[in-house]
Amino acid sequence: MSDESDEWVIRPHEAHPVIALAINDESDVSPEVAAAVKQLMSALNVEPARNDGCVNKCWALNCEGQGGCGVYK
Amino acid sequence: VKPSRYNIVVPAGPGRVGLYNGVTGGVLVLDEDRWQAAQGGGVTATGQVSPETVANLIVGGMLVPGHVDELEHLRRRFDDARSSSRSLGVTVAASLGCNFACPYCFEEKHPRNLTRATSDALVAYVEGRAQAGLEQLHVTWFGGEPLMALAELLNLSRRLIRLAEERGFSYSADIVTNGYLLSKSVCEDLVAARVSAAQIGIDGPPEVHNLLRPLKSGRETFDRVMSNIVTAVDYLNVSVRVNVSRRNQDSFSRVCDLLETRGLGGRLTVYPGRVTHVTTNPAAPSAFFSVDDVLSASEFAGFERKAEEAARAVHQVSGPSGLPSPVDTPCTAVRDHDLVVGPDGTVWRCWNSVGDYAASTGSLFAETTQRQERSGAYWREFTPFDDAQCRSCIALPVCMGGCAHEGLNSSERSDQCSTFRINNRERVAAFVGHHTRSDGHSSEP
Repeated sequence: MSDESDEWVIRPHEAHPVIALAINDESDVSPEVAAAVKQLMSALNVEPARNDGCVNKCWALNCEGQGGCGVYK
Repeated sequence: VKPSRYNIVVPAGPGRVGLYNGVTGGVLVLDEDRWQAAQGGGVTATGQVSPETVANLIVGGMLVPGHVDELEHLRRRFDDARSSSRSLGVTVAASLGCNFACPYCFEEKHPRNLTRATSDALVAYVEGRAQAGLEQLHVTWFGGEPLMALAELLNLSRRLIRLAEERGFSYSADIVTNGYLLSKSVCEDLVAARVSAAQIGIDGPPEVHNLLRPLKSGRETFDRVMSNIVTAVDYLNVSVRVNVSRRNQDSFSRVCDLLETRGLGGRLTVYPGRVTHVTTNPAAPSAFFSVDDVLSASEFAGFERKAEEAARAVHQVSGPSGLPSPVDTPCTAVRDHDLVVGPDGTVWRCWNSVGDYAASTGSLFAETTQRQERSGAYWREFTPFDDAQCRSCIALPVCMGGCAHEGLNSSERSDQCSTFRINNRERVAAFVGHHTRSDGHSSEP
């Protein structure tokens, strides 16, 4: 089924700079989903979460700020 | 992946659901069967859920990896924001005098303006924070009535802006004012002082507002404040706060109508504020405001829903949606480096304490006393994560423990909490319903 009917009423970064980027590695999601996340983040114009930027931009921090989210490495 | 514990799921028309996530503040509307499938194996009756939909749900925070402890992540977000040296919020009570005599005001008035020595000390404090890595400074001009000390406000603004330019941190400011002195020239001065937003009180139509927000002389203020608001929207982002008690709860929608009549529909935001019975300072007017006139938290939560609809009808809701946005900390009072400063350099943690010298937590000029140290410790140690109700509450990401002042002083737990704890589902449903209607989609059956 197409996702064309998905409808953002408030995009995440409109409400708060924190985003929910919580992918440690490809065991969390399929490569296709990881790629879709990356594409969506780019479309939202959200900067890559790495190093100290993670503290503000990622609530997950599974990588302890080392940029290990699997999406932007 | 698993569903976030901070999702609020509401119907959004036939076969559709609206998902609000408190951690991100995102709202996504999608087919119900695909939401159900995305939480399981990803298979719907007609096929697989697309990677794009799963990505939407992950980025929106509605789905999180199974190993993620969201509560722990909120705790880290809270701790980081509390101790952050990158951002600083300073509330300056430029004057503790006020030209109004509102019967519910929680402040004991002291007719004094910001001193040169206090400005000097504040600039020195900010300079110290700049040396510690400050990136963002936000000043809120507060009172009393801050425009009673306009010259002092403008002078300190210039000094802080210059410091920001020299040290390379960003500077922003807003003001909480009764609006009576907010003329065109004052608006121009404020814009030059990088004040971008103003919160102004209107408590009802003239016959109500003039009783609740009179001048100290007893004279009326409505016409002048409303006229100033019409001017101010050309210069500032104006939010109109309607302080609501049992005396004027029927007035909110009339305020919305009056603003619309003045051509202000869509040009400002309007929201209700709950009048509370702050009695910690017996010298404050609020100590004499009848407790019977105060709406309970649950009463206000119900009222708030109707108020949002009234505001939405004239396009005056706050923020992107009228829904609460996620926060890292509940307020300035619990952030380590933030200050609330009085004209004479007295330091408080909380806006509700301004004017109450017995509740001060320090001074810009003197060693902290043992009493002030004890008072300050409460705010430094305040955390929602030691509280079982907060830990299990769906409103935690947008509330972060709520009003620490009420937590310290009120026997009513509900006074501390965000009303979103009570009315979250109704508010999300109303928002999603409004959106789907305005988009031409069908709403809830």
